[in-house]
Amino acid sequence: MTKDNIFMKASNIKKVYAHSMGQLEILRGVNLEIKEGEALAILGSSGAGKSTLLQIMGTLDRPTSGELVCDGRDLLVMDDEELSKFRNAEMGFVFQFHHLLSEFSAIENVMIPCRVAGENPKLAQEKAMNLLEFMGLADRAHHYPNELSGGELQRIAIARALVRSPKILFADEPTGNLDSQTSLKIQDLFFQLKQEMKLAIVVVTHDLAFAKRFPKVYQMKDGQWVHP
Amino acid sequence: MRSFIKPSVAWISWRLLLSRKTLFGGTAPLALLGLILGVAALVVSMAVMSGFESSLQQAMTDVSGHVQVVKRSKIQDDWLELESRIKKLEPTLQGATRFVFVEGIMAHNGQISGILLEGIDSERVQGVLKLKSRVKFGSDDLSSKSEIPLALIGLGLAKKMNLAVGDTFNIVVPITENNGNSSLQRRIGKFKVQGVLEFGKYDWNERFVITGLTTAQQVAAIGDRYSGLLLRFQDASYARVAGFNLNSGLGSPYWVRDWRDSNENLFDAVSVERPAIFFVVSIIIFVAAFNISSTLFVNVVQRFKDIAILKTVGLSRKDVIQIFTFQGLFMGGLGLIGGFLLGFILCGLFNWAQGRLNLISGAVYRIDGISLNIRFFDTLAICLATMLICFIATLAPARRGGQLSPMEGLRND
Repeated sequence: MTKDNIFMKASNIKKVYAHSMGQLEILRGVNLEIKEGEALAILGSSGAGKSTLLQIMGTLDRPTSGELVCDGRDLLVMDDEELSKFRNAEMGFVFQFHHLLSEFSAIENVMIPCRVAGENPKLAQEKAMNLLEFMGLADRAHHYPNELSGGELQRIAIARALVRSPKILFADEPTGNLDSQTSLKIQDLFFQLKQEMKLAIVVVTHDLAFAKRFPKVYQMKDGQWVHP
Repeated sequence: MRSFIKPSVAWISWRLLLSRKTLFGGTAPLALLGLILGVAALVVSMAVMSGFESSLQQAMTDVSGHVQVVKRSKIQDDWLELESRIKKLEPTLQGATRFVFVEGIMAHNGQISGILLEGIDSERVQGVLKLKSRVKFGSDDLSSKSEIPLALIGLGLAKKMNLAVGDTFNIVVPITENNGNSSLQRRIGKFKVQGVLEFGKYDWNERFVITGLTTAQQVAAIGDRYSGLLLRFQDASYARVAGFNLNSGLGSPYWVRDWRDSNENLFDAVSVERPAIFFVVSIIIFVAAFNISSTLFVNVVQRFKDIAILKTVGLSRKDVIQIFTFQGLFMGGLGLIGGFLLGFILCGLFNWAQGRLNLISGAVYRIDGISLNIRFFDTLAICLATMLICFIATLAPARRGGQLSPMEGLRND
């Protein structure tokens, strides 16, 4: 951690795709600093590059150029094994779709990151159950994804993202696939989690109302920030 | 020591495997069936090859001992002295018995058949030959008291001459004289069937008659002369070495041959054919393994999203490769177990059918039946070959899964 409590810093991030008609610039030298426990939203229309930025910051994709430092470590020099461990320990992800594994029950889906980290299966199950209780889903722990509603599935996906107590949570349109009532509940859950777990949250959304609830909102257009 | 696969990866792999998408759906059951058939074919073919070899070996050693020392000429020697010379040369000798061979003609109820009469020392034969295990009817006891000399005959000869235990028959032996004429004299011996034996070799079953040594010597009018000694050692596989040592130790008056010598070509053919057949039948396993490979490829493609999400929660490229390799190897193992089970069932059916349908023609194959034998070495070779082929077949789909970037999988929404 730096003196300014900057947990993650992305500098001059560029992402260019080779295209039959030439080169397609998705990100044009984006900079972003995220402080410890900070919550921010990234707004933008489709194709603005906000999801690509989130994926690069979450090490799910690599930039064409730029620097990415998290918790004092240069993420772009890490190999696959190191990055996987880092993701498992420090980062959580929530997507528009829940992406739960259909062969695993709710509690098993939540405990997967703990098992991947090599935690004792019993302890992992205990942690997963505590989180499901916190989410109000204890009675759904042994249900399979096809037996759960959209809101429940998304809450389980959030529990899976948080079970390893990450320092940062990346969410890409986490309410994009939910009805307005369930969406509000999930939004509330994010802010409750931020308070209780002191984790940094980066949310990419189309939803202006959701974005406005964040203390810091960035807007992106054509692969760069739109300055107010 | 690090294990091949992390427990967590094995857990995920196992759970993903036992789903409709993987093991119980799509082409997986068919791919598995192909592998089962391939392994079963390999098991049966190896069992037949080994069974043929061991049946022939068993017949040879049961009926003619491990090594035969045959006198080249009509030399007069003391057989006990010969035995002690052999014992000195080969201390692992377990038993020795004299034998005499006499060519003759069997006559019974107006039928005749050319036979080979073997006289054996009934007091010593138990330690050298294993005739008891070959008895089909009656007994192998030639030392019982009887007015008519007792004889053991082959199953084929008994059928051909319509003989049963207790029946009597005659053997006519032509005798030449050393007077320069080519005239023949005949001697006739009457025998009673004491036992009908399955000698294990077609020509023996059709021609062999065994009786006491003295009786055979009397019928052939050769006095106390004998043809040679039948020997038994601790281990049949040692017979070749022992035979070689005795050949050089005893010198030219004796001709030494082991159980393998008289069927050298057959045994050589089996040795050469075994790896060839193994390779040819393994091609079925190759084809089946590549079916498993294509099944895994489909599975990897179907699981792009699952792989992506597993990578976001911390699974590395290597872990994903291990997930699919484990699944491929598990399917290989399942195919192996199923193949062995099916192979055993087919071997059982073969054993059942060969007794009833005369599947093995003795006139062609020299033996009338094969007791199928699955050797440990063959089992090991089949297991290793199958798992190696399956492992190779899983590499490409597993690598594809490992190389998938999380974004590639999540983009497929």
